[in-house]
Amino acid sequence: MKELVSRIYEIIKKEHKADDYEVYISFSDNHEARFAQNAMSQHMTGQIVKVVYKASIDRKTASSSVNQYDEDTIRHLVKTTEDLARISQEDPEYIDSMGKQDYPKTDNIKSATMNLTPEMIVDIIKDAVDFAKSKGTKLSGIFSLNKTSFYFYTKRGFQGSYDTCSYEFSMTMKEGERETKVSTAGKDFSKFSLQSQLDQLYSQFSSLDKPNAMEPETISVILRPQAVANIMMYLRWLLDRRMADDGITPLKGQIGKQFFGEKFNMSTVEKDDNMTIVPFSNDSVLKQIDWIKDGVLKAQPISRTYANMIDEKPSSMFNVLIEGDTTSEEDMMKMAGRGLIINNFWYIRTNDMRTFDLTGMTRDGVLYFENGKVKHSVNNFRFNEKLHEITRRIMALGESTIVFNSSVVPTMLIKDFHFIDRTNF
Amino acid sequence: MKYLDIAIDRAVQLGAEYADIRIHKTTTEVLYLQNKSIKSANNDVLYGYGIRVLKDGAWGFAHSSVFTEDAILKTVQKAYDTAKLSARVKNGDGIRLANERSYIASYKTPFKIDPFSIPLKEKAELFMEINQRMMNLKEIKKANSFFRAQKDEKLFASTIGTRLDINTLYINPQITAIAISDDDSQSRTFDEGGRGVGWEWIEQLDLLEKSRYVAEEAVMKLNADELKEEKRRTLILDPNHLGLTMHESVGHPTELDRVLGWEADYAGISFATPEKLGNYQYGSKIVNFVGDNTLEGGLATAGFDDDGVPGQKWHIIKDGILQEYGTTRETAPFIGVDYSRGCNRATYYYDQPINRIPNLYLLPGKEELTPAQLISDTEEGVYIQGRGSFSIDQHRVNFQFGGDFFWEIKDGKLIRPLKKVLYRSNNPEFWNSCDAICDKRYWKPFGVINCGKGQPNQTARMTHGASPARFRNIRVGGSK
Repeated sequence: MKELVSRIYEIIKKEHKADDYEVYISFSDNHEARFAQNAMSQHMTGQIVKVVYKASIDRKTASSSVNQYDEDTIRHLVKTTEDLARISQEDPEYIDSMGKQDYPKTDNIKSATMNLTPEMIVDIIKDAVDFAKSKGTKLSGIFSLNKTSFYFYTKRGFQGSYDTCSYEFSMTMKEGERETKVSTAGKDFSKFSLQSQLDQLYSQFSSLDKPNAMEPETISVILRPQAVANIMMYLRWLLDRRMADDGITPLKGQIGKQFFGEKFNMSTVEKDDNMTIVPFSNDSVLKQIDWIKDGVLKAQPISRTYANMIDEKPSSMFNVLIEGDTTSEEDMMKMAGRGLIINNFWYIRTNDMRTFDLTGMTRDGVLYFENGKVKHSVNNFRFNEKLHEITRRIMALGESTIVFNSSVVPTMLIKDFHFIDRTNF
Repeated sequence: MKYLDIAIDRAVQLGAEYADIRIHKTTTEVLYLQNKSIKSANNDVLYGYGIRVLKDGAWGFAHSSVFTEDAILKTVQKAYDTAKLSARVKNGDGIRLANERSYIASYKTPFKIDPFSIPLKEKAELFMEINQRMMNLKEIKKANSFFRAQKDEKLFASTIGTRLDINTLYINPQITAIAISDDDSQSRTFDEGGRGVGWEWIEQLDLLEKSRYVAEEAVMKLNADELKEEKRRTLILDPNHLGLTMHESVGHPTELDRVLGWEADYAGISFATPEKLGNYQYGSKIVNFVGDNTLEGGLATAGFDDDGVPGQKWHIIKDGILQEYGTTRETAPFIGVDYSRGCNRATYYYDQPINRIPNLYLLPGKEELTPAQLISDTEEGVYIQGRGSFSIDQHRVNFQFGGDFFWEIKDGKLIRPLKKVLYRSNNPEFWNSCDAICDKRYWKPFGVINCGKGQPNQTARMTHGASPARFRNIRVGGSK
């Protein structure tokens, strides 16, 4: 692989006439096995190659990509891109490519994941489906395995590469109106336990009887990690410094201020046992950064272009760790007395970026608890909520766990969550 | 191309029950400007092939971008082996494909001016001028322009003898002005969602003129009032807005794979289950939805789908009653139907095709009715233009939509602009509340180029269309 990449890069170095350039090359091996209603529904495999060349001439920039890598194609890629750059317009926000920089070493490759075979993947799915059948339910989901090698070069001297190998697995169990989901992901398959996933799935499923009708209200909620990840991931986008300074989000001038709740801590980390670590992008190099500490906005992602304009250092949210604590769900129920346990959120969208106002719905089962104990399941709800205000109402946090390959989040107990509508089916 | 025959011959030799190969080249040009800065001037090419093999009632799909005989043979083998593995987890005999004949045919999107032939310099100058004009209003702090052109060249062959040569093209211009004050920011967008046409559409659109109203209305919106309370109101929705509403609340629920529960783990399922066919009152009697993959300029119009099934036109909802679904050769037999409506599409060569929304539109009203008459006949309500926030549950029943621009209607007149309007409704309430649709003179198509579905996610495109329509007694208000 490295030899092939060198050969591609040598052609570009030889052929280019640009003042500056960036080259990205990636090789990605994917295996995706989807199943639905207790049967395999799609099963895909193959390698995807991508060669991207971004050229700048007289502060005019263009980019092209191809997925073939023979000499003629790469020559054509260089010429096409540079021709485009020449007839483009000078960019008033132009910035040179990244220069030589060190970046953190990664530990993404684990033999258990690398050694996963299609046969093993189908075995996992078959065992899961057999379990679902034994319980008289229908199972749908996906097991995906991705192995990628990524290379990045610039004319100004940045040279970097990293490898990733990760898996994701999700299952939705359904029977009649009862429906719930579990999902997991990681870079080390040796930590995967189908039995614990099935136990969790069936435990969630068993707790869902015929949902009792419940009207929307402002009520305490225990958000399980999938729900937390799905709503808090909006901060990856909305925390952006330029959008704040432009007045598109409410964060203008909030650096150093207590904009979020005191129990809310969000960071990007250089090392993690479970998450896939991406050590650099074309915009910046991975650094440990506390974005929000004890509710105080400490830093915001800044693109290289904008960092250059405001004389700051660029930073990216390569991964997200929301700090947890040790409160169990049982203790959360006792603390709140009365409330709802939310397995997941669905179809979250912004109502208004300027106020961080989001809408979305519950999914995969909602449980009503009272006097510290689960009473029964209830219908789904729609919420309209302001993201930062949710963090101000955090009462307690559970242990953090990996949800997606680049996010680790805890269970959260939130006071006074605003549901505005029932979503009956 | 010889590779088609090599693949199909090999699949037959191996004993495939069915196989197809799709050699697919996608060329995309994207131009994106923020204020006076060109953020993207991209030209991207994805070229490869995907091979589907059905063996023992289960699918295997393998893809590659290496064009040699050896690579083709290995990819067929991989697809075959994958299918054999899949067959270990199936229900009964597994998958059976609906009946279809073979075709030898070609299709090409009709267009006058190839958008790829227009120099980037010319495009950049046009959109730079648009951004500049929008920023001439002092309240407009951000002006964004986006242009995308895409051509897809496909060669398709299958074991039933079909050979297709398909060339489609579409373009999508978008312009957005964002007005910002100390305490609010509001945007207005021109976006008709793309169309299967050439650069001549850009010349017809007069985007420079459109940039004027986009900027002015962004400022109007910034200074507009909000609705004080949520209550049941009358809505008049423009065709662009209706494009998104019908996409989410009619298009997705009538995809048969969702009905069958095949997307239960992610995109969701559908309330519009088969026992409702022919008897479910989806909408009022004036509501007629047609699936039409023959629509001129339609984004899903390609001659044939990725099953090799020709484009068709059929009623999905007739006189308000659910009639039929969008189907594929794989999904149709599960409801006892032995023909496909041709809705199987993949995004790129490396995607296995799935059941997608066809071009889907609301037929215009039969009686003569202008938008002005519709408004003058409305005592109190809100007129919504364009697309905004949208959120719908995984069964496609309950939804909340925003919009891009809003007018309050009182005593038959548009009295003041509004902002941050949201409405909430559900199936079947919403489409049954439709009491008037303007006539065919006001029917307009609007595209969707980013319909996400599947795992891994695929992005499909299709066209919707409508005349302005009125909906009574809908909950309309703001966020709270």
